[in-house]
Amino acid sequence: MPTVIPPIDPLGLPAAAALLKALSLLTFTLHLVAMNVTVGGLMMALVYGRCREGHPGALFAARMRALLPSAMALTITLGVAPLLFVQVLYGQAFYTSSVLMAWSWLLVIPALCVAYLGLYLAYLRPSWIGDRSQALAWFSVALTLLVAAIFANNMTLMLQPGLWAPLYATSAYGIALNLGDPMLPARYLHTVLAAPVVAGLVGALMGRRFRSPDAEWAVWAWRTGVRWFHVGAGLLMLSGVWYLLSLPPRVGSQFLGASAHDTGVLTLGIVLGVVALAVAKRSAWLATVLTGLGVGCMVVARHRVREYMLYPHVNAAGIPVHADSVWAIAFAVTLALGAAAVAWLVYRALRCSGSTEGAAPD
Amino acid sequence: MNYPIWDVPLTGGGLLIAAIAVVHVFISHFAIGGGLFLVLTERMGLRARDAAVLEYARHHTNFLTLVILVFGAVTGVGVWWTIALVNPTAVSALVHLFAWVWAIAWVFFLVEIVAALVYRYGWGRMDARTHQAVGWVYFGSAWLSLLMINGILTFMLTSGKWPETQSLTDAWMNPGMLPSLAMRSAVCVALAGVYALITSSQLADLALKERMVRYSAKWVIVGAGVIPFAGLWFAGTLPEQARFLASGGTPMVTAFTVASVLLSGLLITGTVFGPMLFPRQTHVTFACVLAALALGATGATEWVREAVRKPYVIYEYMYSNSLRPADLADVSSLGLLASSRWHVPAKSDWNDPVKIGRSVFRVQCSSCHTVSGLNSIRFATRGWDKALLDQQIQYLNTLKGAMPPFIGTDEERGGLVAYLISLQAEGPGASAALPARSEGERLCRR
Ligand code: HEC
Ligand code: HEM
Repeated sequence: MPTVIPPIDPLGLPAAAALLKALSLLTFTLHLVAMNVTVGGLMMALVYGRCREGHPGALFAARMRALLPSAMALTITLGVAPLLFVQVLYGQAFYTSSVLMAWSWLLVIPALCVAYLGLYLAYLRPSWIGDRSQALAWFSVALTLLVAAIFANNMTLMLQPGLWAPLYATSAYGIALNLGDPMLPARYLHTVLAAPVVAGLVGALMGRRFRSPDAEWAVWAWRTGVRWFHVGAGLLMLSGVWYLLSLPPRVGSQFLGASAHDTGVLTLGIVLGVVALAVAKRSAWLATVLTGLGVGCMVVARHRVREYMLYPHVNAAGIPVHADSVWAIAFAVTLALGAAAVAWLVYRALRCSGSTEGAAPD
Repeated sequence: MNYPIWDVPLTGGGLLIAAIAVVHVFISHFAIGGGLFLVLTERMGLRARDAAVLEYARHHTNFLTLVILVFGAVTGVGVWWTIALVNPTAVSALVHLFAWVWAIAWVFFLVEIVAALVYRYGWGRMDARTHQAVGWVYFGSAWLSLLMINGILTFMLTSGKWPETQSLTDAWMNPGMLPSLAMRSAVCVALAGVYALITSSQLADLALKERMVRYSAKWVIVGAGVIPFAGLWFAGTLPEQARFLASGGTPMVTAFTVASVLLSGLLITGTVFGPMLFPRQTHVTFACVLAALALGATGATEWVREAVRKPYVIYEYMYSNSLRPADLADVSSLGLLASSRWHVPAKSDWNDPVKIGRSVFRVQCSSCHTVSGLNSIRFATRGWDKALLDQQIQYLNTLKGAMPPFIGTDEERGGLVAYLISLQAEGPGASAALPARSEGERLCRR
């Protein structure tokens, strides 16, 4: 089996593996949060979009809808960086599994385009498509969930070097999937269930933000958001247990005591989640920060699963480093300036969000 | 050799890349130029205190920021996505070499998206100065991400000093980088103008229409006017072999080069004699024809850029079939299949030359040839006999098509010949009907 593992790229890593891993985890966490806001926000917008005019749910859905195209655009943009780092660190596994499932992997691109276009038409140009906008939005959700499923497929198939050669022997046409893997459904569910949790927080925060013009509505939004957060997190915990049990024992056991670090990270993630649940009713901001940190812990756990599954066949720490410090510093400076620019832009946008003259018309 | 090969029947993977790349190039340059267009048009409206011009700029913000920008992003990811499926070894090389350049480009790209969203949101909400500043951040970061990526694209064709120095700075600051940047920037401006012609030609207020159509036409003329000069500058930096391919070496590539120049010329002429001289009469259909010319010119140019890179995917570093000149000696002595991780026939098949040949073909030829679809190998070798095939394969890099040299042992070459002969026997429209061509006949034909 190990003979099919592609060799290390002779050009090597551009920096120490640990630094690249840190960047990968950081950017992936941001991507995941944006993804959750998009998917969960869509679910909420659809559920409350059916409320009749005048019900607080109708305004809630409208405000959610206004966020979604931007949230999806950010999800896509924030996904680019982790995609870069996964190739740099684990290209040997990632390219191989991608080629094996080439057609479905390729499907991600048109599916994203159509899903985004659907959102844009349904929520920003409702006048163009009339009463079909709700149906179109459902279609977009389905496509988004499909994209997530394809991702889960590739991210688990790349962890299974033993499956590659047999799958390729069955077909070289790029039509393989990883459907026989017990990890896949559990992992998929666990990732997707985080969406209503995070979006619930967004809803609760929205209740806080728009408190002044309409206090009654704000209370409703706040309560609804917190309810989604609580119910979603309960389901998420259950799916997490299933996921943990679906891991191969040699890997799962690491999180159940065999490795103090890994057990600690997972426990910390769960504790942060539980504390967030407990404080959510009192402070949505605190719950948001805690949940963000909890997601960060889970991303680290996910990373550790990958390292265990791939070791020793693919091991980023074993790739020679051809560091270029000038360019690494250039990146650090750009990142700092970019973060400052984003902060300034967001600040400007928030400062003018009180005035209601309206955004660009058609 | 190192990765499994995705078998795309009939067309091969190359066509998929081309399809998505042309769409992406068109949309992404348009997105960048569109940013500049919005900011400058808004500025013009602000200076003249002209509400109609401001309304015109504001009217296009949604489409440019929410549709074009996002589709530019998705299709751009899509290009690399597809190349990674068709040639993972090459993408791996680019990703490892240029990781920091990609990462920097990504930061600009993120700022661009956030700024564009805020710019859209800020219309009528922000004071004019802040809004203009946001617009400049939007356009500036868009152009900076082009600056970063452009160096990677030209590196694939003009690797410059990098093969000797192995320095990332030399790789990025390669000879083609600046001329290509000039060319792409000009394309951005021209495409923004083309789009603006489509929208301004539909304005109902004739006085406003006249102003905006003329204004948009200037964008096209300035942008498209710079392209030929930047193009010549770029052509001057090309490797000799690439220039040869584009200017007569291969009829097909030359035809596309000519098409690209002709279409650009038509675009300028059409813009001068249409919208520039007769702004009030300009019809949206005419504007769409100009857009089609621009799309054609962009597509042809990108096609040439890809085609003249043969036989390399990364100049002087890696051939289109993922083999590296640097590995030539090792692979030749050890054997192609013995050096491969994938496509190694089962032990029991090692005595079967046809099976060995099939693997050799997949590893070494299938990146450019399909069996019987596009650039079919069955067609290319129709009627060749064993001796001729064996002899030609030894000189593969001197045949037409700008191919890499054959790499492998004598036994593997024998297997490849046996496999190609077996294709003639089984395929439609080949074999017995045609008389076998001898070497003498072939030499005459050349
Ligand atoms: C870089 C891409 C590329 C690779 C790799 C490649 N070819 Fe070609 N080949 C071409 C092109 C392009 C042509 C020209 C087709 C035309 O002009 O009709 C061609 C033509 C040929 C011809 C016809 C030549 C003639 O003079 O009539 C043969 C035979 C051939 N290829 C065999 C092979 C074999 C065998 C391999 C693998 C060892 C291979 N090629 C690999 C691109 C490639
Ligand atoms: C509030 C509670 C929780 C949140 C918000 C949360 C969120 C997440 C997210 C978003 C991921 C990334 C999944 C991926 O991209 O594949 C993840 C991974 C993970 N979670 Fe959770 N989770 C929670 C609770 C739990 C619980 C209760 C368990 C187990 C008992 C658990 C076990 C795991 C494991 C093992 C991973 C690592 C994954 C991998 O292989 O990728 N989580 N979590």
